[in-house]
This record gives sequence, C-alpha cells and structure tokens, in this order.
Amino acid sequence: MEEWGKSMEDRIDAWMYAGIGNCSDPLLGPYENLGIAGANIAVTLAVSAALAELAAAEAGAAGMADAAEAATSAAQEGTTVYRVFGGEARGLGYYYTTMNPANVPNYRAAAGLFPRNSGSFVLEGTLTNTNGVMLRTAVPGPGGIGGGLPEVFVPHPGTQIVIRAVSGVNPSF
Amino acid sequence: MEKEADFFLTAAGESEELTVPRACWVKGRLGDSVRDDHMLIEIRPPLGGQRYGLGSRDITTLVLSARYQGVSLFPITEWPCHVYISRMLDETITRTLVFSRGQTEIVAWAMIFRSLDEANAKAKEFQE
Repeated sequence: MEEWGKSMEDRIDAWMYAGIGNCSDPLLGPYENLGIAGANIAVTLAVSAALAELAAAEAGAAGMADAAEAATSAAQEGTTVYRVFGGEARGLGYYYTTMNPANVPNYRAAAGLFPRNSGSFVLEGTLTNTNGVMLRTAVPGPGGIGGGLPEVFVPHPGTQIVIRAVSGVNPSF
Repeated sequence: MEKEADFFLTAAGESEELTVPRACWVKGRLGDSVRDDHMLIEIRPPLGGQRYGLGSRDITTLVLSARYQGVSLFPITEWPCHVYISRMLDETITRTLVFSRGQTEIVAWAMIFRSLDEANAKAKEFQE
C-alpha cells in the first residue's frame, strides 16, 4: 500500500519489523522479549482479513460504515485484528478492530480514543480462538465522538490472539 | 440504610486508576445531539482529580454511554455492558440534562457488571 509497500505481505513485513525492540508495555514487557520476530509468529494471511482490509481501503472515508460492516461479517478465527494503545491503555487489552488504523482517516476520533490512550503503538495480531469473542459496531460516544468502526471484544486476549507485530507510530494516532 | 450499588464498573486494560472497580449509582439520563441515552452516575470510591487538573477535588460523578450498536443503558440490555466513560467538563449539564461535545471528555472504555465479584475478577486480569 502507499505507506509500506505494494501488497498486503509487504505491509505485514513492515509491521513485523518496524520499531520492535525500542519500546515496552506495562503488561507485555519489553517488546524484544515477546518473541515477535521468532519462530512462533503466525504469519497467517487470512483470506477474510485481507478481504476486510481491502474493503476498508477501497471504501475510503466516505464508505467507512459499509467497510466496517463488511469487516465485521468477515471476522473469524484467522482474522487480523489491530489495537492502538499506549499511555494507560495496555497492549493486550480487550478491544480490537478489524480495520487497519493506517487506513482510517483521523483514527483517534473515529475510534473514540481517550486522551490517556497515547495512540503511540499498534498491535497487530491474529485471532486464533473465538470463544466469547464479540463482533460489534461501535456507536458514537458523548458529543458524537467515535463510532462506526467494527470492534472485536476478546475476553482472553493473552490466549486468543497471536501477536504478529507491535509497532511504534510516529506521529501518534 | 444506604441503597445498594446499581452495578460495578472497571476499565481494566484501558485505565490504570479505573481498573479498581467502582460501585455505581444511577443518577439520571442525559442527551446530546446524537443520542439521548447517556447515563449520569455517582461512583465510589471517587476518581482522583489531580491527574485531570482538578487539584484536590475528586471526581464523584461520571457519564456512561453504551459503546455498541443495539445496546441500551435504559434499561441495560446486556451484561457485562461495554461503555464509554466520560467526565464532565461543565457541571451545569447535571441541571440541563443535555450537553454538547465540549462539555464532556472520554476518560476510558470500560465494562459494567452486576456484581462486585464479576468486576473484581475482570480487574484482576490486569492487576499485578
């Protein structure tokens, strides 16, 4: 894609190697200890995730709601999920989205991120277990902030998500 | 005798301070230009105001808004319920019962539970 390469694979590679080892998370610990670049990385390019991301990219800002709906219906085991975090928001929290934040205009507002989520990092992972996982569409919060993105609630993220990459974001979302 | 809490809130994974569960009492219903189902609550223990620039003044009142399509807080239609937590920037909204974008600020995403035990169990997943 325009930011990291020509294809989904290029972008996944970029996510995997960008910024790793230079930062840490209160829950995850130093990222170099996560084994992100190790043999356990599940580089599973799930067809559903790719379709969801393509749908999101092609739709653009105007069609974000439609893309969100498509992404939501496509999510299942093997789906790529993203979480923007930092500050008080932990890396392996309960809330994710199927849409690549890099493709969402003004992600902070679109997702309804709160100020104490610094938006400095993006975790990208693969959903490996859907027990208790809920796929929902977020609605606008107070004052109309947020809403419209597909959201994935993962009750036990430590065992249900295989982390593929944790990347620093500059500037933050 | 004090009324029992209506539910319990934790923002585990999203907010350090709000990971510890809060007992919540429903105090009212608020609206804005988008929706009319925001819930005004009183919490205990209060939220320290210092980190929000309020000095020694604690925050005892918050606004909850359901985060997902098709979910309501009046009445609460599912448990746990996923919510935005906001603090008031302008306390006059407790009288007007309507507010605009600049009068509140989202402070975390959270879940509310029927019991303290459920909230504690979720919070402990993020407490060392």
